[in-house]
Amino acid sequence: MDAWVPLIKHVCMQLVALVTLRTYVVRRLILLIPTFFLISIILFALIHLAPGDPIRAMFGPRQITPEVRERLTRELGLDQPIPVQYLIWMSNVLRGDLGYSYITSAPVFDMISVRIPRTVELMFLAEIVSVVIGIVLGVISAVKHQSLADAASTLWALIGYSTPNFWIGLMAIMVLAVGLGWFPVGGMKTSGVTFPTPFHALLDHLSHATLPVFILAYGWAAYLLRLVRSSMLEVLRQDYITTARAKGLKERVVIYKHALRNALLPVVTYEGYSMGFLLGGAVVIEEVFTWLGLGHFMINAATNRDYPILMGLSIIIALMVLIANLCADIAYAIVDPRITYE
Amino acid sequence: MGDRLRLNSEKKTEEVYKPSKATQLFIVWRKLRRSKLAIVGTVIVLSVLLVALFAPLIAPYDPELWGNPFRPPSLWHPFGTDAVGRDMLSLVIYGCSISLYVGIGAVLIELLIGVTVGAIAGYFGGKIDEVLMRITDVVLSLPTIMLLILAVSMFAVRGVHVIMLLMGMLGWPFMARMVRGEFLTLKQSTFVEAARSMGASNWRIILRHIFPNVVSLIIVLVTVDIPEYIFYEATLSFLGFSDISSPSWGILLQRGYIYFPNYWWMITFPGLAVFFASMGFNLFGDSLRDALDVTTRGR
Amino acid sequence: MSESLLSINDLKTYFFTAEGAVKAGDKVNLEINKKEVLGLVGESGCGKSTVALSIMRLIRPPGKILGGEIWFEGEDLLRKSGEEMRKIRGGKISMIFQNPMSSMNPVYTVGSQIAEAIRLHQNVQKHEVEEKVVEILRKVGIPDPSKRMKDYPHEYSGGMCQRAMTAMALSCNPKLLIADEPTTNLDVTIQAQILELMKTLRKDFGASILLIGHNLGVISELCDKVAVMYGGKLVEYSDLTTIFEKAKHPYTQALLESIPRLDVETERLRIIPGTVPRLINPPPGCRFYPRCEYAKAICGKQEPQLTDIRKGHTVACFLYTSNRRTKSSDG
Repeated sequence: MDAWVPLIKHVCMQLVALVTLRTYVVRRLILLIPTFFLISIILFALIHLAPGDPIRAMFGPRQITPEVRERLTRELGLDQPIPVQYLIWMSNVLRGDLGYSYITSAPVFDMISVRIPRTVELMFLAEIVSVVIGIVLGVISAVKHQSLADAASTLWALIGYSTPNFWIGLMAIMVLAVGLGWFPVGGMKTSGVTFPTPFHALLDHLSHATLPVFILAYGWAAYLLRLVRSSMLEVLRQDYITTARAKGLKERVVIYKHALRNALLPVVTYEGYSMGFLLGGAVVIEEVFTWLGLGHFMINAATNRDYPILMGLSIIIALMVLIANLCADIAYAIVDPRITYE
Repeated sequence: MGDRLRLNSEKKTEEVYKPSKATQLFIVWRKLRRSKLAIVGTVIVLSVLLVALFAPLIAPYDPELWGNPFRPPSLWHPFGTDAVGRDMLSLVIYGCSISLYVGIGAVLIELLIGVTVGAIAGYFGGKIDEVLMRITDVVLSLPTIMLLILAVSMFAVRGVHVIMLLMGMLGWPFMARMVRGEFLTLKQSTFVEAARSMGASNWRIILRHIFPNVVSLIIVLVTVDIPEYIFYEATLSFLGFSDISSPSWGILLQRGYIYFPNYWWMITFPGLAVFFASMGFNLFGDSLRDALDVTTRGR
Repeated sequence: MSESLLSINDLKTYFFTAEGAVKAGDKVNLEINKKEVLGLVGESGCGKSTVALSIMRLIRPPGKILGGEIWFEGEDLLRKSGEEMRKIRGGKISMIFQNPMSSMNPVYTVGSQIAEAIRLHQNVQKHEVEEKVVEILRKVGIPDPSKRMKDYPHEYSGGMCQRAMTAMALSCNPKLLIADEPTTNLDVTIQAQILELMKTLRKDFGASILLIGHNLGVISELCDKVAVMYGGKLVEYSDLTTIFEKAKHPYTQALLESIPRLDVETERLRIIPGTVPRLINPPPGCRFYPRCEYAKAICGKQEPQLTDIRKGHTVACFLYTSNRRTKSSDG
């Protein structure tokens, strides 16, 4: 649309400015490193300072012979002081070695990397769905303030952030999958079936992804809707909106070109938190829908108290979240011309 | 004649200009009374609290009494019965007390730590603020569920109080951030400057000037955080990470999950209870926030 | 005889709140002639901005224009469709507002916002638009316009913002410019500059101006005629000299007397006791009755109608009219 051309030009100009004015980006990147280490220390402390005997936890009620205990203690480095353990672990991590599972002895890194794309897929799709629904409904609610559409959207959003996501997921499965048969009950694809073309396989995969994606998106869309709605209402009260109308612009132009552009600014910063939120949601959703991603993996590992996996998972997830936050900060700086890079 | 008329007009002036005697509390009360949503929210919150407090009096059966298993919802058992025949309705009612207990307990812990940290960071600023904020930022950006699962997996036994403690320990950064923000803005406000210029000590400023303004923020946050913690307890229990002895809603959900979807009532009703309670607190909290907002002038 | 450009008859604009209807504009009558500057004066909350927004049909809910007529170029603006009104807004009638710094969209450049107005109302080629923007910015006194048009509003000072807003309003050669307290939020020195600008522009563009304000000093600089409003009603109307020298309505007189003057020695400034009335369910009678020092019994019971006490001078006050004579019966 013609109205967004100046915006696109502005974004391109800003990107160019960013590349040439590297200070802001570099500064944020540099800040990333100590934050990462701080997180890793906290995570390590969380796991290793808690009461309990990890070896006992691994074996459950079974017998542990003294030789086995001694061997494990040496192997896992449990006889070293905690800070030394941390340093050993960290140096391994930085080299890409995340240890081995207590249970299966498989390399943690491999197990995690297989599962990352599956979770990322869920989160990516959920992100898109929630942003679209959240913004569209939020704008409608604000523009048609206190109408039926507004009330319905607000109610929908209220349900979204009041209800446990896994419960909604289970209800959805009960009604839509088991009851109506529109969607498969779980998993990432139908097993034991060969598909004639990759396209069919993709469709099958998408049909498995639909319910988890929408349920995952529901929670975030609810937050976004509230935010967009109140932001739009705030913006629509501003003087420059009256000016725009006084110029004789069509109401549609006033809303989309003048109001929305300003209303979305806080949304961009808020979107930075979406990764954390969606990851949290993914943990439970993956369990409910048997989606074999990072969340599902974490629950298994936690139930089995497989500490190397838990450590590895935490550090990877923390890294993902940090990078997402950085991108959000940069995006905000691009979008708002009032921020200077100095 | 001029004098008499001036007197007249002065009297008329008083008639015209009537200063309202409303105190702040009264204004808030009026705003709350007006909003229909506020009333709904308050009613729900009150009923949840009542159910939690008087569970033994309200529940139709003893929740531990075994009976006919797997009965669907009926007149005798409006919520059905579970795998060993316990009445779901009574279980949900008792579960209300447990879940609410955990939720409120966690909020109190969060309150204690969060307000202290936030106040120190916000008021004293500088290096202390920077360091504290770095830590809270870090914890805030990571998914809470993940941290909870990690923390919980360290403990052999996860009773009610362990869960409560862990949730409060992971929740305070958000409260701290909000309180700190409020302190920062208030610290720079003109009335604090005025107080300081009249020689008020730091403590006095905090207690008498800043705190009353922060209190409304804290009240809203507390109200909205209770459903959060009910949710987290439900999630943790559902995933099997808690060992709460008397069944909370989360434990009920976990039990129901095993028999899902055949005996759907075992999971549907506890979930509805969580939804209902959360919605009530959220509505109440939102209306409270609107009512306490000094900038929107309602009459 | 100057020709009438805009004629407002019995305009009624109310705002419907939970407490009741706020009668912001109650049977307002105004007339602006071609190439004339009319000042609309009154305290805050007396309904001046409501009149301006009603002309532009920019009254949003909970406000509503309930009745009356606004004649412009032979047509009643209140009977026009939304589409037609949009063509007039910014084109034939334009408006500038009280807070110049917040009246422009912060995320678009000043030049693009002016260009938007030009593209909307004029049939101009793409490359000509930029020229026009530069030209109009130069006319309002923005230095180095071709560079400054690429700046954002937050990079402009208050005075420059108002100039840019004026540029935006004048870019399509309107017949009527409504200026709602354009100098109220500016420094006194900048105020003077903006007034000078408006004087020049009035000559160059030949537009009529409706200047709204509460500062009589500002009004006296620019206006040919003055209308005084109080409590949502028009109370006095005449040309500038008459108002300043021979004001008849007690409120106008009080306003004039409360201006601090250098040439007259006074001990205390004159104040008008009391406060502006609430416009929700106002009591019967003249709105100024509670604060008026000449109040008579009838003033509290009936509303005075606007009457001609001389050619070109109307007042609504029982001091000058019996309750029988009205404007219409005078012919």
